[in-house]
Amino acid sequence: MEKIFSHPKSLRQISTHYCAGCGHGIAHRLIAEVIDELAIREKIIAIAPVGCAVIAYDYWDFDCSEAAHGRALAVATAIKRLRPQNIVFTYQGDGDLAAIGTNETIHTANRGENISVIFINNAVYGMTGGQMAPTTLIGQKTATTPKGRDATVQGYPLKISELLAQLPAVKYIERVSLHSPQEVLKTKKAIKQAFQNQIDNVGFSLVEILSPCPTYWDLSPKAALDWIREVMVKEFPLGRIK
Amino acid sequence: MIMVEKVIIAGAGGQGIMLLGRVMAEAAMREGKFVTWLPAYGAEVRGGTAYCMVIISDSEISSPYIDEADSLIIMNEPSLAKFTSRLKNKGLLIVNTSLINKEMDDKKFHILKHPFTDKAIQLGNIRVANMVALGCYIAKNKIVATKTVLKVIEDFAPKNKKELIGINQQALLAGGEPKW
Repeated sequence: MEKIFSHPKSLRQISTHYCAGCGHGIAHRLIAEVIDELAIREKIIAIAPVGCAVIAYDYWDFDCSEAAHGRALAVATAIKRLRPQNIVFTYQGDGDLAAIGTNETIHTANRGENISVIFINNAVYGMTGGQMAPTTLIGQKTATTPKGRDATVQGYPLKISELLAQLPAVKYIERVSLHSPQEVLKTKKAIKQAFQNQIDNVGFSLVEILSPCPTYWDLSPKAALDWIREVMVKEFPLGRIK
Repeated sequence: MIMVEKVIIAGAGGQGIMLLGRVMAEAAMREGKFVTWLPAYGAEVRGGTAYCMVIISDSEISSPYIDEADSLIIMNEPSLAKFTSRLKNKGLLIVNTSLINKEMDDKKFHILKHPFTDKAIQLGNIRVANMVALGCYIAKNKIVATKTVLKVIEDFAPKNKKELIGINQQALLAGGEPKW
Protein backbone atom coordinates (compact mmCIF):
# COMPACT_ATOMS: atom_id res chain seq x y z
CA MET A 1 0.00 0.00 0.00
CA GLU A 2 1.29 3.42 -0.91
CA LYS A 3 1.75 5.96 1.86
CA ILE A 4 0.14 9.16 0.65
CA PHE A 5 0.20 11.33 3.76
CA SER A 6 2.75 11.66 6.54
CA HIS A 7 4.29 14.20 8.86
CA PRO A 8 6.34 16.66 6.76
CA LYS A 9 10.07 16.15 7.17
CA SER A 10 10.54 19.91 7.33
CA LEU A 11 8.32 20.16 10.40
CA ARG A 12 9.64 18.99 13.78
CA GLN A 13 7.43 16.55 15.63
CA ILE A 14 6.88 18.62 18.75
CA SER A 15 3.94 20.50 20.26
CA THR A 16 3.84 24.19 19.55
CA HIS A 17 3.24 26.91 22.14
CA TYR A 18 0.51 28.57 20.08
CA CYS A 19 -2.97 29.16 21.52
CA ALA A 20 -5.80 26.78 20.74
CA GLY A 21 -7.24 27.73 17.33
CA CYS A 22 -4.27 29.84 16.21
CA GLY A 23 -3.47 29.84 12.49
CA HIS A 24 0.31 29.61 12.90
CA GLY A 25 0.27 25.83 13.31
CA ILE A 26 -1.50 25.40 9.97
CA ALA A 27 0.68 27.93 8.17
CA HIS A 28 3.88 26.34 9.51
CA ARG A 29 2.75 22.94 8.33
CA LEU A 30 1.75 24.13 4.83
CA ILE A 31 5.14 25.75 4.38
CA ALA A 32 6.87 22.56 5.52
CA GLU A 33 4.80 20.45 3.09
CA VAL A 34 5.58 22.80 0.19
CA ILE A 35 9.29 22.75 0.99
CA ASP A 36 9.25 18.94 1.07
CA GLU A 37 7.31 18.74 -2.21
CA LEU A 38 9.58 21.20 -4.01
CA ALA A 39 12.60 19.35 -2.56
CA ILE A 40 14.25 22.59 -1.44
CA ARG A 41 14.82 21.73 2.22
CA GLU A 42 18.61 21.90 1.88
CA LYS A 43 18.47 25.27 0.09
CA ILE A 44 15.78 27.03 2.10
CA ILE A 45 16.54 29.83 4.55
CA ALA A 46 13.67 31.29 6.56
CA ILE A 47 13.69 34.55 8.46
CA ALA A 48 11.52 34.39 11.57
CA PRO A 49 9.54 37.41 12.76
CA VAL A 50 9.11 39.04 16.12
CA GLY A 51 5.69 38.12 17.42
CA CYS A 52 3.98 34.94 18.52
CA ALA A 53 5.98 33.08 15.84
CA VAL A 54 9.29 34.45 17.06
CA ILE A 55 10.45 30.90 17.73
CA ALA A 56 9.13 29.42 14.48
CA TYR A 57 12.61 28.00 13.99
CA ASP A 58 11.92 25.61 16.88
CA TYR A 59 9.16 24.05 14.77
CA TRP A 60 10.76 24.02 11.32
CA ASP A 61 13.56 21.60 10.55
CA PHE A 62 15.54 23.75 8.13
CA ASP A 63 17.87 26.77 8.31
CA CYS A 64 16.39 29.88 9.84
CA SER A 65 17.60 33.31 10.86
CA GLU A 66 16.25 35.79 13.36
CA ALA A 67 15.76 39.47 12.60
CA ALA A 68 15.02 42.59 14.60
CA HIS A 69 11.33 43.47 14.65
CA GLY A 70 10.19 44.47 11.16
CA ARG A 71 13.62 44.06 9.56
CA ALA A 72 13.14 40.52 8.24
CA LEU A 73 13.10 41.79 4.65
CA ALA A 74 16.38 43.64 5.14
CA VAL A 75 17.97 40.44 6.46
CA ALA A 76 16.37 38.48 3.60
CA THR A 77 17.75 40.96 1.04
CA ALA A 78 21.24 40.54 2.42
CA ILE A 79 21.06 36.73 2.52
CA LYS A 80 19.61 36.46 -0.97
CA ARG A 81 22.11 38.86 -2.51
CA LEU A 82 25.02 37.06 -0.90
CA ARG A 83 23.62 33.59 -1.56
CA PRO A 84 21.31 33.74 -4.62
CA GLN A 85 21.45 29.93 -4.84
CA ASN A 86 19.41 29.67 -1.62
CA ILE A 87 15.64 30.00 -1.47
CA VAL A 88 14.94 32.77 1.03
CA PHE A 89 11.59 33.56 2.61
CA THR A 90 10.30 35.72 5.41
CA TYR A 91 7.40 34.82 7.71
CA GLN A 92 5.89 37.96 9.19
CA GLY A 93 2.84 39.17 11.07
CA ASP A 94 0.90 42.34 10.37
CA GLY A 95 2.86 44.36 12.95
CA ASP A 96 6.21 43.10 11.70
CA LEU A 97 5.43 43.66 8.02
CA ALA A 98 3.01 46.57 7.92
CA ALA A 99 3.76 48.62 11.02
CA ILE A 100 7.31 48.65 12.31
CA GLY A 101 8.63 47.07 9.11
CA THR A 102 6.70 49.09 6.53
CA ASN A 103 9.87 50.81 5.35
CA GLU A 104 11.72 47.55 4.70
CA THR A 105 8.64 46.01 3.13
CA ILE A 106 8.06 48.82 0.62
CA HIS A 107 11.69 49.15 -0.40
CA THR A 108 12.41 45.44 -0.64
CA ALA A 109 9.33 45.08 -2.83
CA ASN A 110 10.25 48.15 -4.87
CA ARG A 111 13.75 46.82 -5.53
CA GLY A 112 12.10 43.59 -6.66
CA GLU A 113 14.29 41.30 -4.55
CA ASN A 114 13.70 37.72 -5.70
CA ILE A 115 12.37 36.47 -2.38
CA SER A 116 9.10 35.07 -1.05
CA VAL A 117 7.11 36.68 1.72
CA ILE A 118 4.54 34.88 3.88
CA PHE A 119 2.40 37.56 5.53
CA ILE A 120 0.23 36.33 8.43
CA ASN A 121 -2.64 38.79 8.91
CA ASN A 122 -4.64 38.31 12.13
CA ALA A 123 -5.78 41.95 12.49
CA VAL A 124 -4.11 42.44 15.90
CA TYR A 125 -0.76 42.51 17.65
CA GLY A 126 -0.74 39.07 19.26
CA MET A 127 2.31 38.50 21.40
CA THR A 128 2.28 41.98 22.92
CA GLY A 129 -1.29 41.73 24.20
CA GLY A 130 -3.88 42.27 21.48
CA GLN A 131 -3.33 45.90 20.55
CA MET A 132 -4.65 47.48 17.35
CA ALA A 133 -2.64 46.62 14.24
CA PRO A 134 -2.60 48.43 10.89
CA THR A 135 -4.97 45.73 9.60
CA THR A 136 -7.48 45.95 12.47
CA LEU A 137 -11.03 46.41 11.17
CA ILE A 138 -13.24 49.46 11.82
CA GLY A 139 -15.27 48.76 14.93
CA GLN A 140 -12.98 45.94 16.05
CA LYS A 141 -12.30 46.05 19.79
CA THR A 142 -8.66 45.66 20.73
CA ALA A 143 -6.50 46.48 23.75
CA THR A 144 -5.85 49.98 22.39
CA THR A 145 -9.30 50.46 20.79
CA PRO A 146 -11.59 49.32 23.61
CA LYS A 147 -14.58 51.07 22.02
CA GLY A 148 -13.75 49.75 18.58
CA ARG A 149 -11.47 51.19 15.89
CA ASP A 150 -12.72 54.64 14.93
CA ALA A 151 -11.69 55.77 11.46
CA THR A 152 -11.69 59.44 12.43
CA VAL A 153 -9.11 58.79 15.17
CA GLN A 154 -7.23 55.66 14.08
CA GLY A 155 -7.63 55.59 10.33
CA TYR A 156 -8.64 52.63 8.18
CA PRO A 157 -7.37 49.03 7.87
CA LEU A 158 -4.19 49.15 5.82
CA LYS A 159 -4.24 47.17 2.56
CA ILE A 160 -0.50 46.74 2.30
CA SER A 161 -0.86 44.05 -0.36
CA GLU A 162 -2.87 46.35 -2.60
CA LEU A 163 -0.32 49.11 -2.03
CA LEU A 164 2.61 46.89 -2.96
CA ALA A 165 0.79 45.78 -6.10
CA GLN A 166 1.36 49.29 -7.48
CA LEU A 167 5.10 48.68 -7.62
CA PRO A 168 6.34 47.52 -11.03
CA ALA A 169 9.01 45.22 -9.56
CA VAL A 170 6.45 43.24 -7.54
CA LYS A 171 5.50 40.14 -9.50
CA TYR A 172 3.02 38.10 -7.47
CA ILE A 173 0.63 38.93 -4.65
CA GLU A 174 -2.21 36.71 -3.52
CA ARG A 175 -4.48 36.92 -0.48
CA VAL A 176 -5.71 33.63 0.97
CA SER A 177 -7.28 32.41 4.19
CA LEU A 178 -7.28 29.56 6.70
CA HIS A 179 -10.97 29.58 7.56
CA SER A 180 -11.93 26.30 5.89
CA PRO A 181 -10.28 23.19 4.46
CA GLN A 182 -10.85 24.47 0.93
CA GLU A 183 -9.19 27.78 1.76
CA VAL A 184 -6.32 25.98 3.49
CA LEU A 185 -5.68 24.08 0.26
CA LYS A 186 -5.72 27.34 -1.70
CA THR A 187 -3.27 28.79 0.81
CA LYS A 188 -0.91 25.90 0.18
CA LYS A 189 -1.14 26.47 -3.58
CA ALA A 190 -0.32 30.15 -3.16
CA ILE A 191 2.67 29.39 -0.91
CA LYS A 192 3.91 26.92 -3.49
CA GLN A 193 3.52 29.53 -6.23
CA ALA A 194 5.51 32.08 -4.23
CA PHE A 195 8.36 29.61 -3.74
CA GLN A 196 8.23 28.38 -7.32
CA ASN A 197 8.48 31.99 -8.50
CA GLN A 198 11.73 32.34 -6.61
CA ILE A 199 13.09 29.09 -8.07
CA ASP A 200 12.18 30.41 -11.54
CA ASN A 201 13.67 33.86 -10.85
CA VAL A 202 10.36 35.56 -11.43
CA GLY A 203 10.74 38.17 -8.67
CA PHE A 204 9.20 39.51 -5.46
CA SER A 205 6.27 37.34 -4.38
CA LEU A 206 3.99 37.77 -1.37
CA VAL A 207 1.19 35.64 0.07
CA GLU A 208 -1.11 37.32 2.60
CA ILE A 209 -2.83 34.74 4.82
CA LEU A 210 -5.88 35.72 6.89
CA SER A 211 -5.30 33.84 10.12
CA PRO A 212 -7.44 33.34 13.26
CA CYS A 213 -6.49 34.72 16.68
CA PRO A 214 -9.16 33.38 19.07
CA THR A 215 -7.44 34.81 22.14
CA TYR A 216 -7.46 38.45 21.07
CA TRP A 217 -10.61 38.36 18.99
CA ASP A 218 -12.27 36.98 22.15
CA LEU A 219 -13.89 34.21 20.14
CA SER A 220 -13.86 30.44 20.30
CA PRO A 221 -11.62 28.77 17.70
CA LYS A 222 -14.64 27.95 15.55
CA ALA A 223 -16.18 31.41 15.92
CA ALA A 224 -12.82 32.90 14.93
CA LEU A 225 -12.91 31.00 11.63
CA ASP A 226 -16.49 32.17 11.10
CA TRP A 227 -15.40 35.76 11.73
CA ILE A 228 -12.80 35.50 8.99
CA ARG A 229 -15.33 34.00 6.60
CA GLU A 230 -18.15 36.46 7.36
CA VAL A 231 -16.39 39.68 8.29
CA MET A 232 -12.69 39.79 7.54
CA VAL A 233 -12.83 38.69 3.90
CA LYS A 234 -15.24 41.53 3.16
CA GLU A 235 -12.54 43.99 4.15
CA PHE A 236 -9.64 41.87 2.83
CA PRO A 237 -10.97 40.15 -0.31
CA LEU A 238 -9.37 36.86 -1.22
CA GLY A 239 -7.72 36.18 -4.54
CA ARG A 240 -4.90 37.18 -6.81
CA ILE A 241 -3.99 40.84 -6.33
CA LYS A 242 -1.07 40.86 -8.73
CA MET B 1 20.04 45.19 61.07
CA ILE B 2 18.19 46.07 57.86
CA MET B 3 15.32 43.77 57.07
CA VAL B 4 15.37 42.58 53.48
CA GLU B 5 13.09 39.89 52.10
CA LYS B 6 13.64 38.65 48.54
CA VAL B 7 10.97 36.39 47.14
CA ILE B 8 10.66 34.81 43.69
CA ILE B 9 7.15 33.75 42.64
CA ALA B 10 6.93 31.41 39.64
CA GLY B 11 4.35 29.39 37.71
CA ALA B 12 2.59 29.02 34.39
CA GLY B 13 1.28 31.98 32.42
CA GLY B 14 -2.34 32.43 33.54
CA GLN B 15 -1.88 31.38 37.19
CA GLY B 16 -1.91 34.97 38.41
CA ILE B 17 1.78 35.05 39.30
CA MET B 18 2.18 38.74 38.48
CA LEU B 19 -0.86 39.74 40.49
CA LEU B 20 0.39 37.75 43.48
CA GLY B 21 3.64 39.70 43.40
CA ARG B 22 1.96 43.07 42.88
CA VAL B 23 -0.49 42.55 45.75
CA MET B 24 2.38 41.58 48.03
CA ALA B 25 4.47 44.56 46.96
CA GLU B 26 1.58 47.03 47.29
CA ALA B 27 0.78 45.79 50.80
CA ALA B 28 4.40 46.16 51.90
CA MET B 29 4.53 49.63 50.39
CA ARG B 30 1.41 50.69 52.27
CA GLU B 31 3.08 49.56 55.49
CA GLY B 32 5.97 51.90 54.82
CA LYS B 33 8.52 49.53 53.29
CA PHE B 34 10.66 50.04 50.20
CA VAL B 35 9.58 47.58 47.51
CA THR B 36 10.48 46.53 43.99
CA TRP B 37 8.55 44.23 41.65
CA LEU B 38 10.20 42.86 38.51
CA PRO B 39 8.23 40.63 36.12
CA ALA B 40 9.68 38.17 33.63
CA TYR B 41 7.78 36.16 31.05
CA GLY B 42 8.21 34.62 27.61
CA ALA B 43 6.57 35.22 24.25
CA GLU B 44 3.71 32.78 24.79
CA VAL B 45 0.31 34.41 25.22
CA ARG B 46 -1.06 31.30 26.92
CA GLY B 47 1.01 28.92 29.03
CA GLY B 48 4.75 29.24 29.20
CA THR B 49 6.62 30.27 32.33
CA ALA B 50 5.96 33.45 34.24
CA TYR B 51 7.78 34.69 37.28
CA CYS B 52 8.27 37.87 39.26
CA MET B 53 10.82 39.02 41.80
CA VAL B 54 9.62 40.97 44.82
CA ILE B 55 12.00 42.68 47.20
CA ILE B 56 10.74 44.18 50.47
CA SER B 57 13.18 46.22 52.51
CA ASP B 58 13.55 48.72 55.34
CA SER B 59 15.93 50.76 53.21
CA GLU B 60 16.27 51.73 49.56
CA ILE B 61 16.73 48.88 47.12
CA SER B 62 19.45 49.41 44.56
CA SER B 63 18.55 46.57 42.21
CA PRO B 64 15.23 44.79 41.64
CA TYR B 65 16.98 41.66 40.38
CA ILE B 66 17.25 38.68 42.72
CA ASP B 67 20.31 36.42 42.42
CA GLU B 68 19.62 34.50 45.60
CA ALA B 69 16.12 34.49 47.04
CA ASP B 70 15.08 34.18 50.67
CA SER B 71 11.77 32.60 49.69
CA LEU B 72 10.24 30.89 46.68
CA ILE B 73 6.57 30.48 45.91
CA ILE B 74 6.32 27.77 43.23
CA MET B 75 2.98 27.15 41.56
CA ASN B 76 3.84 24.54 38.90
CA GLU B 77 6.34 21.76 38.33
CA PRO B 78 8.57 23.25 35.59
CA SER B 79 9.14 26.25 37.86
CA LEU B 80 10.33 24.03 40.69
CA ALA B 81 13.12 22.69 38.52
CA LYS B 82 13.95 26.14 37.21
CA PHE B 83 14.17 28.11 40.43
CA THR B 84 15.25 25.87 43.31
CA SER B 85 18.88 26.66 42.52
CA ARG B 86 18.15 30.33 43.26
CA LEU B 87 16.93 29.73 46.81
CA LYS B 88 19.41 30.34 49.60
CA ASN B 89 20.33 27.64 52.08
CA LYS B 90 17.59 27.26 54.69
CA GLY B 91 15.35 29.43 52.58
CA LEU B 92 11.56 29.15 52.55
CA LEU B 93 10.14 26.99 49.76
CA ILE B 94 6.37 27.13 49.28
CA VAL B 95 5.08 24.51 46.87
CA ASN B 96 1.71 23.99 45.17
CA THR B 97 1.26 20.24 45.60
CA SER B 98 -1.87 20.24 43.43
CA LEU B 99 0.45 20.45 40.41
CA ILE B 100 3.78 19.35 41.83
CA ASN B 101 4.68 15.81 42.71
CA LYS B 102 8.44 15.91 42.98
CA GLU B 103 10.72 15.09 45.88
CA MET B 104 12.25 18.09 47.61
CA ASP B 105 15.33 18.44 49.82
CA ASP B 106 13.89 19.28 53.23
CA LYS B 107 17.33 19.33 54.82
CA LYS B 108 18.32 22.23 52.61
CA PHE B 109 15.13 24.31 52.76
CA HIS B 110 12.14 25.00 54.99
CA ILE B 111 9.35 23.56 52.88
CA LEU B 112 5.63 24.32 53.08
CA LYS B 113 3.61 21.99 50.84
CA HIS B 114 -0.08 22.63 50.22
CA PRO B 115 -2.58 21.97 47.41
CA PHE B 116 -3.31 25.63 46.52
CA THR B 117 -5.08 24.86 43.25
CA ASP B 118 -7.32 22.24 44.86
CA LYS B 119 -8.19 24.62 47.69
CA ALA B 120 -9.11 27.30 45.18
CA ILE B 121 -11.35 24.88 43.29
CA GLN B 122 -12.95 23.92 46.59
CA LEU B 123 -13.63 27.59 47.32
CA GLY B 124 -15.27 27.94 43.91
CA ASN B 125 -12.75 29.50 41.49
CA ILE B 126 -9.50 27.92 40.34
CA ARG B 127 -8.05 31.33 39.55
CA VAL B 128 -7.68 32.31 43.22
CA ALA B 129 -4.97 29.69 43.82
CA ASN B 130 -2.48 32.56 43.78
CA MET B 131 -4.20 34.24 46.76
CA VAL B 132 -4.25 30.95 48.68
CA ALA B 133 -0.49 30.72 48.18
CA LEU B 134 -0.04 34.34 49.25
CA GLY B 135 -2.07 33.67 52.39
CA CYS B 136 0.18 30.76 53.22
CA TYR B 137 3.29 32.87 52.70
CA ILE B 138 2.30 35.84 54.83
CA ALA B 139 1.06 33.56 57.62
CA LYS B 140 4.50 31.97 57.74
CA ASN B 141 6.84 34.96 57.69
CA LYS B 142 4.47 37.78 58.63
CA ILE B 143 6.16 40.23 56.28
CA VAL B 144 2.90 42.17 55.91
CA ALA B 145 -0.35 42.20 57.92
CA THR B 146 -3.25 40.15 56.58
CA LYS B 147 -5.50 43.19 57.07
CA THR B 148 -3.35 45.23 54.68
CA VAL B 149 -3.44 42.55 52.00
CA LEU B 150 -7.22 42.20 52.30
CA LYS B 151 -7.55 45.94 51.64
CA VAL B 152 -5.18 45.76 48.67
CA ILE B 153 -7.28 42.99 47.16
CA GLU B 154 -10.35 45.18 47.54
CA ASP B 155 -8.63 48.18 45.94
CA PHE B 156 -7.08 46.23 43.09
CA ALA B 157 -10.36 44.78 41.85
CA PRO B 158 -11.34 46.52 38.58
CA LYS B 159 -14.57 48.55 38.56
CA ASN B 160 -16.46 45.88 36.64
CA LYS B 161 -15.13 42.96 38.68
CA LYS B 162 -16.04 44.01 42.23
CA GLU B 163 -17.88 40.71 42.75
CA LEU B 164 -14.54 38.89 42.74
CA ILE B 165 -13.25 40.63 45.87
CA GLY B 166 -14.98 38.22 48.25
CA ILE B 167 -13.57 34.99 46.91
CA ASN B 168 -10.05 36.41 46.61
CA GLN B 169 -10.17 37.50 50.25
CA GLN B 170 -11.54 34.12 51.28
CA ALA B 171 -8.68 32.47 49.42
CA LEU B 172 -6.12 34.62 51.22
CA LEU B 173 -7.57 33.69 54.61
CA ALA B 174 -7.86 30.01 53.69
CA GLY B 175 -4.20 29.96 52.72
CA GLY B 176 -3.24 31.28 56.12
CA GLU B 177 -5.17 28.63 58.05
CA PRO B 178 -2.87 26.58 60.27
CA LYS B 179 -4.62 23.35 59.36
CA TRP B 180 -5.99 22.50 55.94
